[in-house]
Amino acid sequence: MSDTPDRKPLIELRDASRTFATHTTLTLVRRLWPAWNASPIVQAVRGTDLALHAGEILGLVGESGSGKTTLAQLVAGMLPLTGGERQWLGTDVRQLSSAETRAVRLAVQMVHQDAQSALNPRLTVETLIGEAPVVHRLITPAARSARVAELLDQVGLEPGLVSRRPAELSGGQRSRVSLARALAVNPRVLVADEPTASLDVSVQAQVANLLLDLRERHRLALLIVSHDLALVRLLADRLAVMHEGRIVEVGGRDVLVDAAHHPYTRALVDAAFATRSRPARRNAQTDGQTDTRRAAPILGASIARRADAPGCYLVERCAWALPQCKIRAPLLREVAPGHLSACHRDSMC
Amino acid sequence: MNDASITATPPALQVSNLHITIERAAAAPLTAVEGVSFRVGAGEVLAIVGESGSGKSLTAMALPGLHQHPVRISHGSVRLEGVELIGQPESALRRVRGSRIAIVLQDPLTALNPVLRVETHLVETIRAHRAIDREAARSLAMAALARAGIPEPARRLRAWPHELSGGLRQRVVIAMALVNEPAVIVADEATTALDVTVQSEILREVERLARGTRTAFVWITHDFSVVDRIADTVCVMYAGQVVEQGPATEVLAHPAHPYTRALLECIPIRQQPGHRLHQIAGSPPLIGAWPAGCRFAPRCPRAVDVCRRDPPRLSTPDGMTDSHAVRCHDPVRA
Repeated sequence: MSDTPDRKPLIELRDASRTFATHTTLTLVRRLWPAWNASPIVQAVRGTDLALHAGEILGLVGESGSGKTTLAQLVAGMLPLTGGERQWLGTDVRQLSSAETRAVRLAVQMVHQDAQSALNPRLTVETLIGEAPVVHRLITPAARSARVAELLDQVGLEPGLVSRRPAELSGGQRSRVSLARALAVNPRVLVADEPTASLDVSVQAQVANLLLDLRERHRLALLIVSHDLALVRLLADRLAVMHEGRIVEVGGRDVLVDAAHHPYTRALVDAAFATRSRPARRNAQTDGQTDTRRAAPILGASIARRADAPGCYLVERCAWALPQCKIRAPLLREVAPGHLSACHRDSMC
Repeated sequence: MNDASITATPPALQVSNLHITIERAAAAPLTAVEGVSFRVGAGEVLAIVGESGSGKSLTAMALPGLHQHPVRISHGSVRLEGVELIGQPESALRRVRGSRIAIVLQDPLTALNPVLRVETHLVETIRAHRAIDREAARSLAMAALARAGIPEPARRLRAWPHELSGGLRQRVVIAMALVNEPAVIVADEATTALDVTVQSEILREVERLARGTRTAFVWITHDFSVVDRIADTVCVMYAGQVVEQGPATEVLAHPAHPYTRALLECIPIRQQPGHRLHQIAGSPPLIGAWPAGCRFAPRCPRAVDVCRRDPPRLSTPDGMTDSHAVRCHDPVRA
């Protein structure tokens, strides 16, 4: 179906932001102790664009706390935006009728991190998978068993599991049930948050292959959130790297791994692909490296930074920092067709 | 590494034929770990690799005697610097724990007491084993933080655990393990919860410490890429047994057990994008519900009748290095 002339993305975020207010209920404390007002807001996602096309897999990677899960929940419509726009086939979702809104909700499904806590422990596999399509009148109650059996088959599970509850399943089986549940309402977009993180290495590959098969079969658009760059690179067509609530680089999977522009992407690739014969590069500071391009570009872990501090979010940790990095935050700009990076160094390369 | 003779220094840790069972109220105990043997010399890193249910974490906890009812060591020997630990009373174990053998667990936040400063954690660990005053302990603590790669150790001593990032917390736990200069540090999935960039730095630190301080490390992990980074020797566990062990470079380059080979193929960085990923069919058996014959046979592409009937023994086939052993009827040839 790749001959479809319409290359409009299925789902798109434009300049999307999400903030979380903290301590909102502690007004009295705040009045007595004004310092609390200093950081009342967490900006989990800041002004981010992201588009997903039918049949494509986009991998979203970044360190813990970078806002990956929040961004995934914005794409899936599980969380409202606090800024920017979410579009379905080019239309702002806020302008859709209520029937259309419901249809979009079904069309974009989320597979949560940790299938164990995402599945109601008191329900059987049959109810877990079959309830939503009946409620939404996609199938009649009489057709439920047959539909559940079909979905179990699609995710590679035995039909005999229908009467089991989540506790009676292995980790890999729970992941598959979670996937089958999302597929039950015929989605066109699947947002999977760390779909393989809690699984054994050997089972992880089974679930990864299943995702590839499902994309093929249903021409799904998939957003896969993962901390495991090496794994997600094997699945995704494009990769987006997130840091401090922003996408700092996005491009084809091979370009990002072999020829990343952004220093943070370089650091991630370096760490994720390190082996004994090709060890990760060392810190420029601690080893007295002078050629900064050869040293590890990013030092240490994330540091808390004031939301209104000027300049690039990485300036304190970046071995490549330039004078202007302290003054202006770099914008995401195209460095090659389909390859965007947010770094002042790009304009000099 | 010297060959052990009567006069030579004993290895930092020698484990022989370790069996661990899980007691059950109304049924026979489950055998969770069966016949694990290995030795680690000073300055060496031994990695134990396995999936869930392989018995690797039970083995880790049992080494310093930290296992609790219903887990029991039913058989075997754990010798720390030549001294048998199995059968020792709790009071004797308390003396060696934190001084001669230390443990680093997966989650550094739960390993640290949230209402104690970093300093208290370290100073208490030192003063539990040595009769020195608080000031002297404090300077030892600071030195340990520095050795674990923590910048500005004096400032970090005053920090509370919640003020530190995940990577720094795990370094504090490693500093606690190091502070009394133990012979052996056991680390159970110590970098699993950390971001890759931080994990990479910690692994580098461990390598430096093993060489620099002659500490022996037993590094428990599910991740073969960690083995590749730091291990000298490796034990691969499956379903409660060691299925292959030997020098890490050799096991990684010439895996002899089909399970080891399959696990190595599953490592993402060894695969090329654009294809389906390598996978192992099925899932690991549950503890105690071991298949008959070879425990990997139901998932093994090479299994034949004998594999499903007779349990293979751990042995060194002809043509393989002496220190490399495999539990397979038909090992993969290099």
